Amino acid sequence: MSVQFVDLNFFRPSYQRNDFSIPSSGRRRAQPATPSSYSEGRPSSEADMEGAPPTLVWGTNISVQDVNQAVQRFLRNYREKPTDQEGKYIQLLEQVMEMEEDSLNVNARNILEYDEDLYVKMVRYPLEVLAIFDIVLMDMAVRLRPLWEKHIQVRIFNLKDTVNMRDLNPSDIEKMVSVKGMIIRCSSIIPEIKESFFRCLVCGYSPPPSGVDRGQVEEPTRCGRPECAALNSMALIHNRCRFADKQIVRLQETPDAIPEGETPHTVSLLMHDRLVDAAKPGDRVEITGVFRAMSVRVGPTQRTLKSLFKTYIDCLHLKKSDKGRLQAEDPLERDIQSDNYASFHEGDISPLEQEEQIQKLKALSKLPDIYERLTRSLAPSIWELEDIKKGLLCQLFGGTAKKLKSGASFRGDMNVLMVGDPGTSKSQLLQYVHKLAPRGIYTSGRGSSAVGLTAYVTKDPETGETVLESGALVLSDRGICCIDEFDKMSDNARSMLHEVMEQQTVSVAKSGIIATLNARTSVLACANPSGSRYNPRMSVIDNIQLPPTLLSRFDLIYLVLDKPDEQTDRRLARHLVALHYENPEVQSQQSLDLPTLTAYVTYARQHIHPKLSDEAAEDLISGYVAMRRKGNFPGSSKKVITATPRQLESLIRISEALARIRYSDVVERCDAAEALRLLEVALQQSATDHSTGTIDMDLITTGVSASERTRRASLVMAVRNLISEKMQAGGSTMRLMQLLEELRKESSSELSLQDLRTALTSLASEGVISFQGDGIRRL
Amino acid sequence: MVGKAYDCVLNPLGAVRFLFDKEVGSGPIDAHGRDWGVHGLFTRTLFEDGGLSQVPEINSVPLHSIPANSLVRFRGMVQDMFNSEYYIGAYKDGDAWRTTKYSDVAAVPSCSESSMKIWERRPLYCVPVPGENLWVKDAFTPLDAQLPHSPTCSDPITNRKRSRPEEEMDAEDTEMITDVTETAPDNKRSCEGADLNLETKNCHDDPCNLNMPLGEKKLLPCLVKVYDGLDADLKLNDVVEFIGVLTFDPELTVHPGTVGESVDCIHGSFLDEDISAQLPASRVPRLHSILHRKLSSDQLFQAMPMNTLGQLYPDALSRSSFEELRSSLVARFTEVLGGDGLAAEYLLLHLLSRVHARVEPMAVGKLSLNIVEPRPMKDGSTSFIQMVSHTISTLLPRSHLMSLSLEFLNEKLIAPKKNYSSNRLMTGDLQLADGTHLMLDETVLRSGQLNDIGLQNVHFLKNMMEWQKVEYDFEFYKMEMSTDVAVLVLSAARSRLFPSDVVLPLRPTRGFSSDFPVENLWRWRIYLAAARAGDHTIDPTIQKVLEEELVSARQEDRSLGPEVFHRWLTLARLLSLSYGESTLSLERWNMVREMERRLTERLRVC
Repeated sequence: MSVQFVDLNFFRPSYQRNDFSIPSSGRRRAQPATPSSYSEGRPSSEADMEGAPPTLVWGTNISVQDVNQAVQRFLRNYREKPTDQEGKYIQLLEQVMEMEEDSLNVNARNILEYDEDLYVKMVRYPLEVLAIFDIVLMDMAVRLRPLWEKHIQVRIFNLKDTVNMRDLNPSDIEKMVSVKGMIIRCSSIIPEIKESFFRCLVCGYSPPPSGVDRGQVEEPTRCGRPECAALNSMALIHNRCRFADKQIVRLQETPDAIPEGETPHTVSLLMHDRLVDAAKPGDRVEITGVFRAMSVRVGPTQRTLKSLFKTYIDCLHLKKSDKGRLQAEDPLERDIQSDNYASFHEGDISPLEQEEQIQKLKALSKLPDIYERLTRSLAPSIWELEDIKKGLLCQLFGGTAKKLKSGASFRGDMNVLMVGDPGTSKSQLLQYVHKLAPRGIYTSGRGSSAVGLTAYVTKDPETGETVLESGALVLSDRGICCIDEFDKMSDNARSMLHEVMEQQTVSVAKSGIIATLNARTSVLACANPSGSRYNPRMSVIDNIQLPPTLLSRFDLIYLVLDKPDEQTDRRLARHLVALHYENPEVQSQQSLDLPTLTAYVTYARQHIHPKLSDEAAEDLISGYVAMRRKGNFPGSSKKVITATPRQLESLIRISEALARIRYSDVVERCDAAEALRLLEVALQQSATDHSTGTIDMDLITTGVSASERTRRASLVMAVRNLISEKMQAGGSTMRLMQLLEELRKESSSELSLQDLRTALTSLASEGVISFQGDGIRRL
Repeated sequence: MVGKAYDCVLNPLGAVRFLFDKEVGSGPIDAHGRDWGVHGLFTRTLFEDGGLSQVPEINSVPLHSIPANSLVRFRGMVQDMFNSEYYIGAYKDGDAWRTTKYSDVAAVPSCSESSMKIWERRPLYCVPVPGENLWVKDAFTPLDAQLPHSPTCSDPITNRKRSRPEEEMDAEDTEMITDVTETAPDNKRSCEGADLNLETKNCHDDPCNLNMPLGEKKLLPCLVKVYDGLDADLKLNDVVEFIGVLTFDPELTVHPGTVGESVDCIHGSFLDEDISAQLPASRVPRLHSILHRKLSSDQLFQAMPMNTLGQLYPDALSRSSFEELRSSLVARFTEVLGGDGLAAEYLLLHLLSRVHARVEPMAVGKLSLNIVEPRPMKDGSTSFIQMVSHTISTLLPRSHLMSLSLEFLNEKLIAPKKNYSSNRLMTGDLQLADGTHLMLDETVLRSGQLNDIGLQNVHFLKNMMEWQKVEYDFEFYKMEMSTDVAVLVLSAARSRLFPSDVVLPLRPTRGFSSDFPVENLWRWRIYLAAARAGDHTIDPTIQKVLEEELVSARQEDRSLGPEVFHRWLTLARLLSLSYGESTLSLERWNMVREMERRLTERLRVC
């Protein structure tokens, strides 16, 4: 039996992928291949092959006919669901032809599912099998529309395994591989000649354009017209040649793939046609392509090869991904487009392993103690602060953003503020959240300006156009903006946050640009009290020294206080001693590691959108009403506002986040109860009126509590009375201390000099007294 | 064992080929080019049969005196790791297989793919260990190769005097950089702030940046190629000794006149990953590593040739000699610090500190020290800084003094940054091997404006002191690399810029003295290395006591936070280690409390 070898590269019509395969196709062609039955660039139909001896791909035992048939079977018959009327790829091909596109994306997992043998062959001998794919596709296209002439390429994506860049090795050469990474550099577009056009300078005759093989233009030495036949007269006419785009791109490993203590690896990619400029530097992508090696010539003219090879990947398909971090994209906002289409959109057919992971995550979410477990996993090195960690967890998961038909929208992102004594590991918590968060931006209040946080307008030095540059808050859209040392931020910068924290936009009106940018970010801020330590005798406002308008925009305000308590001290001591003397790795078995935690949060944010159940809504309402009522002492005339509508919104967000933690689509009563508890814990710490011991939201919104206000009013009354009793108008001055003594004699309550001064100032403003330095004079 | 048909040292490739032929003879050759007995042979020859001493060290023997393709040694720090290289590992020449393993370029005839094998190797860019002190270099230099100079000079004054003429020589050297024959081991140059300018100028003028750490000029970097996946245990900033084949590749040599051409090469082809094009072989020797061994600071002494050590090894130190050495060293420090005994104790513990565990993001075990020497800056005060720096440099294997002048901070980034156009990691002064000692001289900082770079540099230093991490800038993302660098800050007042774990106001009672008795030097060095490497545990009963102590201390004084406790526990650990004890005793704990009490008192007076 005679066996025919065929070089398939011949019949991939002017297909540029092959043009670079110096070792492979060069070598293959160098072999004395028997002239094949396909000497035309076009395949003959199947029927012709019958009876002919099997044609094998050179160097293998793959029969071209077999593969051809397998490909045809796959393309014709593959259906995603058995119930589908028409094959998936027939439909797609029709679409492609409708749109006059030039490529068809084929999901490798479909091939694997349909015909494992074909998949294996394709991965091992991609050039040959892809060539067959193209041929079959052309065949089918012509059958669908006899006049179809355009070439349609196959783009394979979604291979079963993605290799790590550093695991590529010589045995992968000439195989189909899939690699993930981040694009770091793109070359400019290189025009590559595909068809050359010549004209005779003597007689003007031009032969039909000829295809160019691997960038080598063969110049005819003599005019093709027999009458002319002038020697060396043919000139290349550039503008009538056909060129294709080519681009060289460098891909680098993403930080999460790099083992500790090593530098990232890079690999070069060769992009053609549609893939050119499909991705920019900084994009995370997953590419599918053929791994190639090219020997290095010592000099351009020398024949000897260096023993070195340059490697690159001939790119077939590129898929932008952002899997490393928590992906905060809303499914609603994601373009709903067919995966098999639109340049390089590849869709969300969950790969098997992802499916597995989702199952794992779901199993995790079923655990009864998942809430505690997650809390433990958040910053395990930070000891205690359970409730704060729970709050941060809620912030990470976030509530659901709502948009009403009327256009009003409610943010789902939560803002958290931590205020506390120095050395209570606030910054560490912040760092940890930043690591976990989607597009987290971490800034320090001390070094941030208003412009740096929001957006600024610059003139492009080259074009002179005005450009908007985004600041930290805009950059952390759909993420968490962590601001350390919030208290040290300039007032100007802080005032920019008002809009961001409630409306979630940044408005810019500057030099001809009026724009509103989205800044759907959660703000996590931490601050030190105004004195370096928290002074429990002062109100929260006095301690934090932040404008109340801003303060009320935080859903949760935690006071991280260092309370003297022997129990906690003992635990701290044990923790520290263990840290120094025991193997710290053994500590936490029951917690999730960082990648799992990230995946858990990502999945929840993407897929879980809980709704309030009626019972939970009831509970929240009654809880809210109870909070408002709390300030009303029975029989007391003073009315203390305990909660504001903002707190109700916060409650809803927190309870939604809690439901998300359980992967539940409904907010249950238990979530509502926990949300109330969390808010209460935060409020009890942050909004305790130290003179009455009740929760007082007035303290947060205006800075002065209701009871404080009545106390001040009564003090002013007392002073006024005293002054009118003891002093005559225009009479001698009275010393401040003297007055204080008198007052202390009369009133039973504590009275500080500061209080007295405040009272006197308000009297002076009424025009009752004049108050200078230490002396008081009645007017 | 294989018969001696070749000379491992003079003709290593002969040995490789001999073994290869044997391997080919015994069966089909392996597609991945695994080892065929070369490691075993060289390990036996070098380490068991003592052949190591015959292998020349690239940096101590003039390069031109080493024949090409001979076996050499190189001790350096891995500064950059490149992509794997694919090369034709074996090819068929007629009927016989030939190998090109452990060589640069082979005139491989363009042959068909079936008759060649593609293997891979990993190129690493290694530089002389940054901050390595003179005595370590000397110890590794075989005695006969040492140039006549006074080893480990005992007096910083003469030391400085000696460095003067060399500096002038440096200035001349910039004209003829390619002259690599200068092998006189370099001096600890960092003491002089003046030559910082000189070295940066030097870097800018340099067309093909060799990326030398800390302005190193005399020693050579080396492009090491590691085979058979042996690079798996190597990490960035490891200090490693490579033993391998030195090759010259004339094709790759770029002559100074044709630099422009090579730049064209780099930019012309994006695909060109060949780093060698940027690194002329005349200045960057190529080494094909057959064997390597890591030299972490405690293994350094084992690796040193016997003759310098006088048969003294760290594990030979007995408990009693530990105590004796400790007290003599503390006495010595006391003298250097002008009679301040407490400061001497703290300095010792500081020098012993290392990161022994990481509980993200904390680095447990580090102890940065801030010595405050408030006396007005006279001429004497500058020499105090040099005295401390000199003392440390004669005791620790690697140390560096960084003068934090405004100009220095604003000049260039001290953290490494990836340059994508040359595809290399541009080093910064903070790219240091683990166990390096870093001294920051804040006294030279004048008031003035920090620019962008300056601010970032301050941030880098702070980050290093607080978390023992340095951010490497990869443009699209930052990567935090863990370090283990003990930082000592010298300042005129408590440093606010660089908060340290321990702030120590100096109370000198007499002048700072600097004469160093040489006889104990080696024993001290070994003592420090051994104590540093020591392991430490705690007894459960003591643990209980400790906990009680901490609780009651906190009950007494609420201002004691976790950071103070961290410090106490670290100090207790280091104090025990300094006595060579592997468990914490109550006695040492009380000593720590007493030290801390005295320190607090001192701080209160300030």
